[in-house]
Amino acid sequence: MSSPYSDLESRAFWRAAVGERSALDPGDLYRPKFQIPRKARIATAGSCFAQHVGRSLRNAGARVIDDEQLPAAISDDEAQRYGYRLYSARYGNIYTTRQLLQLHREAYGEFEPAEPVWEKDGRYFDSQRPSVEPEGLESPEAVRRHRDTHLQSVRRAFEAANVIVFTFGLTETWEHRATGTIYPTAPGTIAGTFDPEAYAFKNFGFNEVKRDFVAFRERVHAHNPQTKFVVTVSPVPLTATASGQHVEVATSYSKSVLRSVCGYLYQRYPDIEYFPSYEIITSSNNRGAYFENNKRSVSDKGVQTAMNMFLSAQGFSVTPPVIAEASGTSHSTQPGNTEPAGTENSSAANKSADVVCEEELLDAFAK
Amino acid sequence: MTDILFVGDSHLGSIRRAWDGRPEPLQDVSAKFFALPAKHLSEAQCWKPNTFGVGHLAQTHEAIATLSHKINDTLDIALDDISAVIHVGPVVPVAKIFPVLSKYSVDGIQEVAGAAAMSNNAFRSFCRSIAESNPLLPPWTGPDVPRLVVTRPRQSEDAIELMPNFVKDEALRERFKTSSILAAVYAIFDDAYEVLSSKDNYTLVRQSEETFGVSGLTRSVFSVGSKGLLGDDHEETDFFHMNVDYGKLVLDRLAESLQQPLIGR
Repeated sequence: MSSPYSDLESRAFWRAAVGERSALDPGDLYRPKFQIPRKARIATAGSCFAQHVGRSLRNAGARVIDDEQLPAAISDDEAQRYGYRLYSARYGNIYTTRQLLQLHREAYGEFEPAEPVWEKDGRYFDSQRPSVEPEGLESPEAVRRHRDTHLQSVRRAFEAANVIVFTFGLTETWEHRATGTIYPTAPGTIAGTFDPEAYAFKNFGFNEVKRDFVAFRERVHAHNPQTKFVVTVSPVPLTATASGQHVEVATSYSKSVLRSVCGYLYQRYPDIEYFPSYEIITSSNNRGAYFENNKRSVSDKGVQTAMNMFLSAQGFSVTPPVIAEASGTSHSTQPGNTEPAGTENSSAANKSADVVCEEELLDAFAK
Repeated sequence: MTDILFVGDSHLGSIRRAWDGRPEPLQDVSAKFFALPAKHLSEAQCWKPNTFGVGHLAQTHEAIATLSHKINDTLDIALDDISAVIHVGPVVPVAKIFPVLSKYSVDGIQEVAGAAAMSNNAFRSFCRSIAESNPLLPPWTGPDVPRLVVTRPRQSEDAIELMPNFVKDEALRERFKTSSILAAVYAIFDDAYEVLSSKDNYTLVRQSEETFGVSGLTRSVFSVGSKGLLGDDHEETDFFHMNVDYGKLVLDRLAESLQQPLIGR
């Protein structure tokens, strides 16, 4: 008598695939649904962890779009301090699918965020990306002018992309009560003032996250029907929660929702790939080895393991990281890689493994 | 009598020729000059105690040794009585920020219709970043004496018009011609190097303001009649090297800069 399980590969069984797998063996967790062509133009966006994704792709020689490019003579540290070289345009971290959808709508003139300018100490910040100008700008008009040109870059980046890699980060966010505008950081964290009458905590559920991403996909396809997507879930736990629950419980909720949505998208749409960075990093097989001592930040080894699995499965070359002795950060370089003209940045100059993550600022509020 | 050593590339020529007419505060200073074309200058070093030059290459690099003889009448300079070293010719790498100016409107620097906006703070920070990774002070293993850096003169203003390679982007070249964008950018770099000079313990001798044209480059009058290290005339299309009048102004600035470390003591 046959069983539907009798012909399955060993990777389908926990004992063989996990229980008997040696610690830190990443296993056979990922088999691509589709291959990303070598010449595909790739746009990246998402939460802090997405910076690792973009950097690894660039270092592997992928054609990662950078519409707000800087010359190689400028160091990564300085570029990234001002939001350059992080993503395909200078939008900073996009933690939620609502923020992603909102940005795309705004780029096409279909949405205007409420309270677009935040003030702090006489300087002015773009409320949708407050971290990209650490010292702020000199006037609200300057913020609007900068945002207008940035939105042109957003359009160009998404329209040029053959593949969009998006890292789902959070479900928790802050919403403008009257309009539904959401922000990447709570008002009052980097700039602006928190007014409980104006802003409310929002914790998205499965249907909201799903609907937002599906709407984003449809909007992208309206301009470029062939665009494919790679989605992944950031393994980085929440720095803080405003949900009232324990941060570990809140993290579990958030990641579960995001993982469920990714599962749905993967099964429902042939043009959406899921890459299991969340599983690779959080697997019990690793015994926490892929996290730093704070049990939150993903270690260089963890990033390298996850990204090497993705790159090798996708046929990109994988180079061992060079450990930078002084900083303790690691980077890899792709020999022979040259920076092409135009909008794609495959520069091998991305040396810093640090990520720019404004969510971590919430830690300063811990008692 | 105080001895100072000038070490530099072809840009040392204008200073060397101006030395005999040096300003009054430098009258009691004697100078030694050691120059080589830029591509060979890094070969010169303190290869034995209190000696700087290319003597160590006499047997192996005949061409350099011959060149040093022609230019300097010697292979090496004795450093026994040297009270200061003045490095002439390090390049302020302004051109490395040109790609930013081609692509972006920069607050307070230039407005370009339709271009992406960059904040003044970001731009300054990027210029600083370039300055930090392109230090002006050459390596030195000789005596621990005050060191000064005289940067390479900015190109003459004619370079914008007549030297397409200086600014390859045509639109940017047009903006440079009709504005003081370059002047502002050079000022940012000079400020950045001023800060670095304090950290790295050297004195930056900035190019004299009176040599600048409206564009921020060197007034063309200073490139007329410039000569090479061997006394040969530079070609008319040489927009890099300056003449003896320029050298005199450098010496005026040097007299001010040397006042404290040397002359006054």
